[in-house]
Amino acid sequence: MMLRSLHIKGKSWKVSRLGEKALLFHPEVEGDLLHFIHSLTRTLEELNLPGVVDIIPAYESIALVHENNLTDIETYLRQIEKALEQVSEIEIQPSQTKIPVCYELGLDWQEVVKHTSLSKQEIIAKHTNGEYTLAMMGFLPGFLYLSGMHESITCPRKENPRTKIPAGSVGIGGSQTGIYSLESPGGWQVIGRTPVSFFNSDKNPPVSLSLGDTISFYAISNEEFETFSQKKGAE
Amino acid sequence: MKGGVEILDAGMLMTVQDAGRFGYRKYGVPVSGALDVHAYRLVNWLVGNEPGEPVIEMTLQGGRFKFHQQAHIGITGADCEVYVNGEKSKINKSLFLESGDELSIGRGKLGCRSYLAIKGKWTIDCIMGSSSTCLAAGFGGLNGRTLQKRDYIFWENDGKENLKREVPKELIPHYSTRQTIRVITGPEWNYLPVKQQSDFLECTYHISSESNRMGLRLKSREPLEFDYPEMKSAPVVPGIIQLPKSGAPIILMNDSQSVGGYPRIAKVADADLWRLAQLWIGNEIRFKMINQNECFKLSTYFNDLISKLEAE
Repeated sequence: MMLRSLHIKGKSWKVSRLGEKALLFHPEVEGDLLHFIHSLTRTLEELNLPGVVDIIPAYESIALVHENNLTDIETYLRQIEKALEQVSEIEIQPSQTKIPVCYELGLDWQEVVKHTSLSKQEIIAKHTNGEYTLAMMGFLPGFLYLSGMHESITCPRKENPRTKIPAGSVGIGGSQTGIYSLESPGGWQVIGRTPVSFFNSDKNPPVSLSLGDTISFYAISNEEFETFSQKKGAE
Repeated sequence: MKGGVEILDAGMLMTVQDAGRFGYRKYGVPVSGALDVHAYRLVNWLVGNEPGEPVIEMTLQGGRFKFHQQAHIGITGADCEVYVNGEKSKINKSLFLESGDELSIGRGKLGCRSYLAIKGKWTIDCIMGSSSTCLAAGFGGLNGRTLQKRDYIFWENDGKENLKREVPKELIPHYSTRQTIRVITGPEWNYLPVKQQSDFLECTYHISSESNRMGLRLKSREPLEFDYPEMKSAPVVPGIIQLPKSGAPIILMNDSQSVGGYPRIAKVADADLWRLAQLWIGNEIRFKMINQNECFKLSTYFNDLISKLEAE
């Protein structure tokens, strides 16, 4: 499936196809893949390559989606390489965001406590102590995947996904934590809820955070959650 | 002059769709857009609208409409009966309606998705570059939701000449309840042991009742059980066939997510996506593996024909 390697600024990327119109770029490096992925994503975006309709970064690869069939891959990749040589790589400047979470509104405490053999308080402490990176978005509009969670609070996804998870739910899915920006079905273990909303279809971009941003959480009470939600509603 | 149509019966699932929403998949915003691209492009051509203009997509049961102004319309897609004021009419050709006319689009006898285009510029929000309804996030189309009884769609007459058009016979597809769907290998095809690879290609699948605009879930007598290492969520596009551990494949459609954590074993040729769009619960499919070049060739065939029409 692999087509060839692409060399960009001394780094090697494995290129393969994803259907007729898309290519996948996998970094062939050791270490922090996400950092390379976010940086190349931003650089590719800045290039405004003609015909490219979407650039989708994920954990281990980036998809570059074109509007037309990519029949002549060799020529196309050479064009990309050439374009990339002419720009300097964009380093991500992460902004820091602190997100309030009402852990009292968690739905799956029983399961998470049982699986981790830690108390609820210990889990909250670990969760609020962590510093996370916005790794990607994508299971749903504005679903935020955050990497960097403490291993001890890893918990597998639910065997029977919930049919309805409220907007703002903060969950654990395996070794990741994440935020459901919209009400939706889902299989992550919900341990809390934030009153902050991150997806707004009337805004451009629709998500107020950027990939690579540093995220941390702080605990708020039920009352604070209500006050925050009301304030937001009145805006 | 402004025109308006009132929805009298929205059938099973009626939404506003266009050619799709691009550039926002990194935020998890699905492509959306008309599922049957052939029928979509043809219906816009029938009424002389530019490619990419919004249309109404109907599911299985069609719908009923009352036009409050004169309108030049077209219907394509599922093979169904159409009545204007109770009189039998036809799909795949331009229709000219008078103010007060009632249009009734029946259940698809073959195929399940019908498209209604109305000549003119629709008064409908364009969000993130598209008028398509994004049901998952509740935006786009008409207030981000399915169309309901008593909803109105308005349009501005574009002043262009009303062209009498009919879809050429060679462009009217044959819908069937059994389809052979051509596929190419996906990034994780080799996760499947050789035995399961051939089982996947020999098996007959049925469309399960859990299917929707996000994806078609398939059922087979013998699930394709296999084990694989946990994988991290990776980019997906419409047409990707995912295989969860349950062994029941899922074909992703236009409303699907932009990343997924199941092995992407294959991808449906873009040229066959419209076939999937017209399949309903219980219909049968088999897969046929083709190579990348065949895949390109297939997609140019229809594209060339319709591009020629559009350029006229």
